[in-house]
Amino acid sequence: MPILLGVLLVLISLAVVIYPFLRTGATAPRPAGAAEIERLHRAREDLYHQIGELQADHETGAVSADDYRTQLRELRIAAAETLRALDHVDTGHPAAEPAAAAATRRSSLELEIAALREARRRRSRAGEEH
Amino acid sequence: MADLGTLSMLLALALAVYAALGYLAAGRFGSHELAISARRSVYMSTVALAVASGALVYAFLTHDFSIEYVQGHSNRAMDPAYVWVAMYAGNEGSLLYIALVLGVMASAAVYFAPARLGPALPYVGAILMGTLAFFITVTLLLASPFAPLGFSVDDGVGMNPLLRHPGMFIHPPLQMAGLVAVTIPFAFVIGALMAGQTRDQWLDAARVTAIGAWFLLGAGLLVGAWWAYTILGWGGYWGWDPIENVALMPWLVLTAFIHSVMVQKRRGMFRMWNVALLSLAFVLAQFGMFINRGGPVVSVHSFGASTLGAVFLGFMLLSLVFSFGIFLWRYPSLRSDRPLESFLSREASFLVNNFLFLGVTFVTLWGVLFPLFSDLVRDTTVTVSGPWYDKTNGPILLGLIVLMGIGPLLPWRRTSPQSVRKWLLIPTVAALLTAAGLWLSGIRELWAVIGFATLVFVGTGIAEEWYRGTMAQRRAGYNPVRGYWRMVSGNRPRHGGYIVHVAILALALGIVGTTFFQQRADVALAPGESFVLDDYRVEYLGSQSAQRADRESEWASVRVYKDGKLVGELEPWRAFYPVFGMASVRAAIHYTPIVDVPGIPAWALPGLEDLYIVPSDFLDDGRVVFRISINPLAWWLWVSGPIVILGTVIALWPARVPQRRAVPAEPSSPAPQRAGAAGS
Repeated sequence: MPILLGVLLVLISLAVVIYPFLRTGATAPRPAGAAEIERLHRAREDLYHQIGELQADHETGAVSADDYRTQLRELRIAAAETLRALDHVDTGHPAAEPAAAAATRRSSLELEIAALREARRRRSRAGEEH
Repeated sequence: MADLGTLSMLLALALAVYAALGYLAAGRFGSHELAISARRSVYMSTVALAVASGALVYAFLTHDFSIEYVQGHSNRAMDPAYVWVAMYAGNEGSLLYIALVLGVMASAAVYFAPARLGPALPYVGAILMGTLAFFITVTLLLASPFAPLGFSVDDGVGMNPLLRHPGMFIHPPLQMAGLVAVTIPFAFVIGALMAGQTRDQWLDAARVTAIGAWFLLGAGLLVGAWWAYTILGWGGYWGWDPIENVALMPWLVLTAFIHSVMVQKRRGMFRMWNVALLSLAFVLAQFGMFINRGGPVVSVHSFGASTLGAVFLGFMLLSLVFSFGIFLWRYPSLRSDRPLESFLSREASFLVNNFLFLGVTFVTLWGVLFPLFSDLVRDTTVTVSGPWYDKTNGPILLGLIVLMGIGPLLPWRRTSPQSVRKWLLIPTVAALLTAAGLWLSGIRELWAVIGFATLVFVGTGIAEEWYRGTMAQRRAGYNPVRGYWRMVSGNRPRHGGYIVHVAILALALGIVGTTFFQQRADVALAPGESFVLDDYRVEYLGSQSAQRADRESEWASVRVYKDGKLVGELEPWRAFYPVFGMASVRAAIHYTPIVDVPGIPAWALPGLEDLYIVPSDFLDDGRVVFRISINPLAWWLWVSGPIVILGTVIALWPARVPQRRAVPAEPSSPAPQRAGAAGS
C-alpha cells in the first residue's frame, strides 16, 4: 500500500510538471511595458509616502520650515516627473528622455515653481498692504 | 511507511533538482513554459516532503520501532502529545522538518513573488531549489530518518528528557524555521542581482521576508529563553551558549538590515550595504547549521551524534563564495543614488545602529570561535563564558538602546542641532530624574541605574513622538484615539517599529532587573523547615515520588509566605531518566504583580518579581536541596513577545494604495511647531 501511494504521488507530480508543455495557448508572459508601469506606480507611491512622512515630521516640529520647503519642492518635482513618465507610458509615448532634456525640464520646472511662489508672495504682500 | 517516506524524499529531490535546473534554463533562454513547469515542480516537491513528513509522524504514532530514528527518539511510555513532535527531536528528523519548511516557504515565495521581479524570478527559484536540494540530499544520503533499525525491539529509547516540555511544541519549529527562512530574502536579492536587477526591484520582497525570518528567529529565541528558565534549573534564561549565539547572530544582522533597508526605500542609499547584510545573514544561518550539526564547538543543545559538520561547513563556504562573487560582479551598479547629507539625520543614525549591531554580532562570533582559535594557537581549548559576553556586548547593547531613543526622533536627510536638542530635552530630563530618584532611593548599582535611566529616555522619546503626532492629528479635527490611529496607519512601518522598540524596552527592563537584582540561595531543608529570602519564607512540607517506565519522578511540596502571609503552595519536581543518565527539573514559580487587581489574574498584570524554586537534589535522609531565587522584573521578558507580534503585524500590514492626489502646497509661513522648536 505505501509503495502504491508513492507511485501515485510520482505520477501526479509528473502530470503536474509536464502539463505546461502540453497545453496550447499557455499564459503569455507579461508585456514588456508592464514592468515599467509598475515601477513608476511604485515610485509614485513611495514619493507620496515620503511627502506624507515629511509633512508629519514638519507638523511635529522635527523638520524646520526651511528644510520642509526645500525637501517638499524636491519631492514635488520628482512626483511631477514620475506622473509625467506615467502619462507617457499610458499613452504609449516613450517615457525615457535624454539626460540633457531631463535636466532642462527639471530646471524649467524649478523656475516655474519659483515664479509661482514669487507671484504668491507678491499677492500676499499686496493683500497685507491693502 | 519507511518505503513511502524514502520514495517521497527521492521524488522531492528529483523535483527540486529539476526545478533548480529548469529555472536556470528558463532564466537563460527565456522559456515561459519551462518557468511554469519549474514553479509547479517547487509545489510538488513540497507536497512530496509533506508526504515524507507525514509518513514519519505516522511511524512515531504507531510506534514503528523498525525505523532506527523512531526507536531512538520515542518509546511507549511517552506522553502521546510529544509523539506528535518527536519528528524533530533528533538530527535526521529535524533535517526533514527543515526541508519541509523551506519547501513551504519557497512555494509561497515563488507564488507571491512580485511580478516586477520578472526576469529575476527564475534565478530566485533556482537559488531556493538549489538550497532545498542540498538539504534533501544530506538527509537522504547522510541522515535518513527512515533508515531501518536492522533488528527487532519491543520499545524505543525515548525522547531526550530536556525536550519533554511545552516549549518543544514551539521553540524548535520556530528556531529552525527562522534559520532556514533567511534563505528567502537572500534568494530574492541574489536572484535579482543575477538577473541584472541592481536597483530596488527586490527591495519590498526582501524586506517583508526578512522581517518574517527576523520574527521567527526572535520568537524562537524568546521561547527558548522561557524554556531554559523553567526547565534547566539554574534560574537564568540566556547563557551565551554557542547554539544560542548562532541563532542570535543572524537575528542581529537581520535587525540591522530591517533598519537600513528603510534608508534604501526612502532615500535610495545603502543598496550595496543591504546586499552585504542579507548575504551575511544567510552565511551566518548556515554557520548556525554547521555548529548545530556536528560543528567543533561543544554545546548543551547540539545534536552531539551528528557528523554532518563538514558538509554544512562546505555549504556555508560555498554560500560565502557564491554571494561574494555575485556582489563583486554587480558592485559597480549598486552604488547609492545620493550621498549622506548630514550626520544629524535618520539615515546616519541607522548607519551607526548598523555598525553597533554588527559589533555585537562579531563579538559574539569571536566568542563562539575563540575555543577553536585558542586550541590552534595555544593548544588549549579556552571557552569564553557569560561574563565575558556581558562585559563586551553589554556596553554596545546599551549604546544601541540609547540610539533607539535618538534615531527615530531625527527626520530623513537633515535637521538642525537646535531641533535635536529641543527634541531630546524632555527624554533627557526624564532620564536624569529617574537616575536621581533611583540613586536617592538607595540603589547603588551604577550600571542598573544607567540602564533604567536609558530605558526611561527611550520610552519618553517614543511617547513624545506619539503625543506630538496625535496632537497634530487633533489639530486636523480628530479625537485623540482616532488621531493616534490615523498617525499609526499613515506610516505603519515606522510606528510598527516604535511598538517593537517598546517590546525591546520591556525585554531590556527584564534583563536589567534579573541581572542586577536577582537574589539566590541554595539550601537543604528537612520536612517542616523553612528558609527566609528577603520578604519570602519558604516552608518545605514533604515530598512524594513515583516510578514510571522510563523515569523516577519526585515532587516537593512547599508553602510560600510573603511578609508573613501565605501566598501559595508550589510543587517543583525533578525526574531522573536512567536510560539517558540525565535528570530534568521543573521549576515552580510564584509570580507577584506590581499591584493586585481583583478579578484580573496575576499573570496578566505588570510583574514585580518571580519567586523561583527548583529541587536540585532529593537526599536519602529526607532533605531536599532547593535552589531558591527572587527574579525581579522577569515578567517583562516574556511580555515583550506579544508586543513584538503586534508591532510586526502593524509594520507588515499592507498600506492602502494611494491614488493620484494633489501634493500639499508649500507653506508661506512656518507651520505650527512645538513650543520653541527651531524654525530656522
